[in-house]
Amino acid sequence: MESKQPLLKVNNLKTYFFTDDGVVKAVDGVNFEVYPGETLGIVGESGCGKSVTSLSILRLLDEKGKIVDGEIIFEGKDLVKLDENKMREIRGNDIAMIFQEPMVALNPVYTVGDQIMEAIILHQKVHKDEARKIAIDMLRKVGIPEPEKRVDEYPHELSGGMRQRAMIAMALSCHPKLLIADEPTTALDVTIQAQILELMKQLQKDLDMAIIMITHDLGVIAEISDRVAVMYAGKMVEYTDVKRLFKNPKHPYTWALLNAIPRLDIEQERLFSIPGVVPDALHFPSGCKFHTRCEFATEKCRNEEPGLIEIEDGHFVACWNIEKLEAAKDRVEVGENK
Amino acid sequence: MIAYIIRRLLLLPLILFGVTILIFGMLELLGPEKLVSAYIRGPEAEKVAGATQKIIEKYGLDKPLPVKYERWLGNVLKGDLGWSLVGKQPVLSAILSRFPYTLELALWAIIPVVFVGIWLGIISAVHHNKFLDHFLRVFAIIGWSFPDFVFGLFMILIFYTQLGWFPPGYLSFDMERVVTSSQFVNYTKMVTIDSILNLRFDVFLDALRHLIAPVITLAYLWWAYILRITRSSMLEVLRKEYIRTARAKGLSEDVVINKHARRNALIPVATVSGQMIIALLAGTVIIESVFNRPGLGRFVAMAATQLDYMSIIGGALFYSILLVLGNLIVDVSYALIDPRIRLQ
Repeated sequence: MESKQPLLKVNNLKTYFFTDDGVVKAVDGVNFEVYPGETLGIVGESGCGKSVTSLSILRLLDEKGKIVDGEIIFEGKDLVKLDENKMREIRGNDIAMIFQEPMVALNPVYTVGDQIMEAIILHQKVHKDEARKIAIDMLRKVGIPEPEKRVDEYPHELSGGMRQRAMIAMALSCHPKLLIADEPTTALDVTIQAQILELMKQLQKDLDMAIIMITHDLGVIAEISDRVAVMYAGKMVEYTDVKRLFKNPKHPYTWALLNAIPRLDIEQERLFSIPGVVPDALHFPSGCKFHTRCEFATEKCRNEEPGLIEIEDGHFVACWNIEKLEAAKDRVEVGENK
Repeated sequence: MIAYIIRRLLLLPLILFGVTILIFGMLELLGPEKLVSAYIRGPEAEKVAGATQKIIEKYGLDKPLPVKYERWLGNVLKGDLGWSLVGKQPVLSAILSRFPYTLELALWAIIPVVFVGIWLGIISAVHHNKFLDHFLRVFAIIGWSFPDFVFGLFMILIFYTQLGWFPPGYLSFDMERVVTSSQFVNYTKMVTIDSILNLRFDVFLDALRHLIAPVITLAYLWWAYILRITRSSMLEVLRKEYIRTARAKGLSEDVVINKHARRNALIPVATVSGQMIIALLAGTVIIESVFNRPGLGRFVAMAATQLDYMSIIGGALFYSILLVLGNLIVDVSYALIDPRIRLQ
């Protein structure tokens, strides 16, 4: 996979929000690549900058948010420098996006069909009747029953799962090369979540597109991702393929996140949780941003920020204390075996 | 949609029934003696003076309530609202002869207010916190914080007393003679429309000259209100996720604002526009007084000061019907804007 040219390459992306209270460094130097046809997961707690990263790629930030540095190279073009008209040709056409809340992400006063057809007419330059056929086909493809009828219904007439399917139909109607999915299953019931993820995997194969899956749910990551970027407080702390991440996490934050997943195979009196809270975005700590909640933190962590270093082929970690974590892992293993 | 309108229309008689009960109740509070005037016709009034008791007996004013209600409602349905002391004519014709003046002023004010108000409100929201937004907001704040009579007096001071452009009143003396002459056909009793239909453009221009100052006064005050509501509603809608979805599709900002955002933002604007239209149709006493224009508001105000009960109650009934119809129009326009309402 490494030999292929990446479809999207994000270099040192910095997106800051200039608020009345000060500058929020929501994304502060993020690097990753997405290869054609693969799924990159971006995982982290709320406020870690994962959604801002995705909105930066499509340049859909609100007026306070600005990309202050870095490049977003998509098929050889730097999206940061592209003018608004060229950017609009990419949005919805080459790169599409689906959002967390299908309840509020669809316009309540227009029919589902109308909202799907809009993008088709815009990008594929087809007539209304043709667009309608494509829209019905798309609705069928995402598993909506009676698409000929549903196409004329309003969002409030569909259930949450159906709405997210309609959102997916809308996003995929122009066969994008990259789909950015921002917590697409968070607002849905667990059974529906599984169906939607299954659908996305299926469509990814059919349409040969890449996906950036943004989520706080490691279960979703395990289900769908090829590679994973873990974000904390605007920075990437670990970046590797999904197998290595789950088997052998190298960053204390990743390790803590994995430990926080309830396990059925061992007896747990209390669920593990990471102590403390995500730091306030206006006052991020100095040094490593995670040091306030990290059990291995040293003086060095408080003063110097670790860079993202490739510790083995394709496994990047930003931590000063990788050895300490390894030692701790052994301790826990021993503890479990007692 | 049609089912919604039919359902809404079926409710109408019920609401109107409630209205008549309330108004009949008001009448009853007056007591039979005062009601006598309701059943005396014009010149008859002098002849029967002092014969109150006879009339009470003749018209059954001491009968039980349901009987009286039935008789009263029967009269109302025939268009008999009693005799207006102030108008010296039946109440219904007194109201209907004054309503066109009010309607004319209202129509001239409503159209610029609604369209310009919404348009500027959207511009203001789109340019949020930029110069244009601040400018429009200051202009609007002045509009809604000015009492209308003060603003109206300023208009007269500047445009009549100082400049002599826009005189108060309804028509100049010469033109009034034209309008009342036998060659001039009064189709609608609204002089700006009738003058065009009669091809008398001199009359039209004169009527317009008299309309400009009161229309600007009314329009400015209401325009500021519509602008404010549109702006805040639009700002709220622009933060919604479906707006981001629309942008993520690659739609131009023009389509995002004028298709996706505007229709959602218009829902509260429809409410306010409905209130405004009803208020303007009811006739604004102050504007009509300041600019010395005949109209419904002035008539009802005069009736109130002279204790002309039947005119007051006739006016109340007329206003109630306007209100009910106005609300019906607002409800239908809601349903046109928002499909969720159609299904309720």
